[in-house]
Amino acid sequence: MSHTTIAMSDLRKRYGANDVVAGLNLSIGPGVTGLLGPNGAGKTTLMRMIATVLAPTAGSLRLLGLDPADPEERTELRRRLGYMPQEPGFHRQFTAFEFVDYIAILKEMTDTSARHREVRRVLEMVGLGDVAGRRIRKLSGGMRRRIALAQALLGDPQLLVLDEPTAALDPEQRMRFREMASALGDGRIVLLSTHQTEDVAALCQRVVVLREGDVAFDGTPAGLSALAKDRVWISDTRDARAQLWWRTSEGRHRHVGDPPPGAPIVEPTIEDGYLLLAGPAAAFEEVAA
Amino acid sequence: MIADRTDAQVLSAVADGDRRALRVLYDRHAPWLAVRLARRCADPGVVDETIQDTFVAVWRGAGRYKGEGDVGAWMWGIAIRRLIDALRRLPRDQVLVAEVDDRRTVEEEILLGVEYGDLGGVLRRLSPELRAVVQATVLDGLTSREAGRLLGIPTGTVKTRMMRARAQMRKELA
Amino acid sequence: MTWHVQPELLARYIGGNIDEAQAFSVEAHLPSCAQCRGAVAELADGARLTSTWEGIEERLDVPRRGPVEAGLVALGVPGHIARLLGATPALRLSWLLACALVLAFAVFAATRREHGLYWFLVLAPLLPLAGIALAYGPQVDAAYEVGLAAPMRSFSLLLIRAVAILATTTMLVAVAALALPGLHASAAAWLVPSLGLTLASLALATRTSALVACGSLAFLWVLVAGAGWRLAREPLLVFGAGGQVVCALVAALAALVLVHNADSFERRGDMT
Repeated sequence: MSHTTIAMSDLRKRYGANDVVAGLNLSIGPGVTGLLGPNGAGKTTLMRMIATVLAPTAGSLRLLGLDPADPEERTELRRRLGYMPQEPGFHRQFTAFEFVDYIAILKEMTDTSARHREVRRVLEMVGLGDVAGRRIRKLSGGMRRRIALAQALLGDPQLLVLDEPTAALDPEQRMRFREMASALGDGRIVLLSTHQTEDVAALCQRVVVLREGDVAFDGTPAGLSALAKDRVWISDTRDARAQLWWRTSEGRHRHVGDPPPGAPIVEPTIEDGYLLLAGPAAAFEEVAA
Repeated sequence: MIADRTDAQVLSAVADGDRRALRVLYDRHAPWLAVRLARRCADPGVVDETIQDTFVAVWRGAGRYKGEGDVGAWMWGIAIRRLIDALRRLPRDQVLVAEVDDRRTVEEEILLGVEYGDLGGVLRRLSPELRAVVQATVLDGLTSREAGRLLGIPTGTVKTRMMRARAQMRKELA
Repeated sequence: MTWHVQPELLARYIGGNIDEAQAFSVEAHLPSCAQCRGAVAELADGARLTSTWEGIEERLDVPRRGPVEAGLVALGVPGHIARLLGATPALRLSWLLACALVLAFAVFAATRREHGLYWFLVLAPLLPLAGIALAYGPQVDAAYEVGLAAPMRSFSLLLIRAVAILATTTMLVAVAALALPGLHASAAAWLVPSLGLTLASLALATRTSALVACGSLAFLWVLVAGAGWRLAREPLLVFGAGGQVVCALVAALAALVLVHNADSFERRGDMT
């Protein structure tokens, strides 16, 4: 059982006097798990620790039954891991194929023809087969994101860590990403952080909400929306008593908070539950993303 | 829709790095190029390799096409020169020398008569060696030196044969 | 285009069952007629064409070797390591040419100015330092974070690059040194300091970024060499026997520190 999970106990990361990740206790298994939270909640820091590129300050972390603090086990772990960072960088003069090929070499694929076959496979998986020979500087932002995803898929890893994979994608690209990602959870642990509650709704069997380095919620997407049950109402004018409000596409006002008596209650969405937990800052980021 | 675009437009898309455009160009031109190459080289492996060389060269050099003449003719120019390069790497017995085939129908006679006068008959009456040289320089657009490399004969011989072919054709057409 | 090849004639052309004069006619026509070319395509061997296309894709996608990479492979370096090195900014041809130019200038200065040799000897060890500053770290390696998460040890990657950079700059400097006026032993006095500074920069890089390590060592080196001149009125003091021994000791010490702290390169994900 422990060989297919991420297990953390009192995991902590401190910068100066600030606990960016403040004593997390979580256990994550196969399937797609979403990590929601506003900026500064510690999402990227946590993802980095799980991707083995950052050392924790305290606490224990075991990934696929291995300890990332031990150099030998860490190398073995990295062989089974794929990481897509929040801001992936590329050598711009490379073509898409050359870049993924370069990363494949770093992933210890020394046999040239086998490696090329694998590079072509992952590029086909993300739909970049036709532009494999194009220079990265000539590719759009959405395509560059897909290259970053492709390199994470090299070697068919057991653990996939995707840090905000849909950020800066337009709605159509986001939809295409979700189609690709939905199949990835079979037999793998996929940990995906996002600002977009639709990503969670579409992909995740489980969602964890982080706030200020702590777990504010850990459960199913349905459970997250249930937090806002009977706490969401719509009216034509703005109600100042609400915790949060915004205009809907029909020009009415949606409120989250403690509804006044007689207010027309509506069914809550995951977004409502998330915003109730994470507060106004999260609302701004979600709309802006 | 890329399939509706002209060859020149597709070629400029190739120059931009569009792989699908190269595929369109390949689907349109590889078949006839392969047949024409096969009539100059008996080995299908060399023909396939030459087609690959040609389209890789087109991919890399698509920007060099400046709109002069048909794209097809431009591509044939690349293809025949790639064939010459490939043949230089091989032993010399791979090159076909054309056979004379006298079977022809009445319709074809008329067709050829309309298009080329009696040029068809004149060409047919040339010996295979002379005809091969005419094909290489006139039809394929090669220089004497390139024709020599294709046919495996010295440049001087190419020039001599061309002179003889011209003399014979002029005499017959006069 | 009003004339097209009759289907029967076309079929015979494709089948190779046609006389030369008729073939001339067809072949003169095809380059300018899309319709007839389409007819040829209809009759073509689809499977063979598909397989040939796949060969084209393979050749287009597979990365082409730059001159440096090709040279390395010719020297016997394994293909995948040559590929990694080929991606190093400091091993690109443009950078090597820049070094060559700098050295040419230094040699020129050495032949003209009074203490020209001093400047040459001070400059020579700075070249590998500059190269190493560009070899590692998020500021210069766009794929740094992804590379950290890969199984290959970051330390190994850095070491491979450092060795290659040191080797290439050493060769360039050696060639330039041959052009110095009066061939004497002092002309090789840059060798041990080069090694010492390079290893020291790697050792320092276990604690800070490669840029900071190389930058501060470069500054220190120029300072120490200058101070030696000032204090002893002898410009080449630092390069004398004593100086060489000190550099060798620094090199040895740095190597120990480096090996001991090799693991510190592995989890620097927050270094930006």
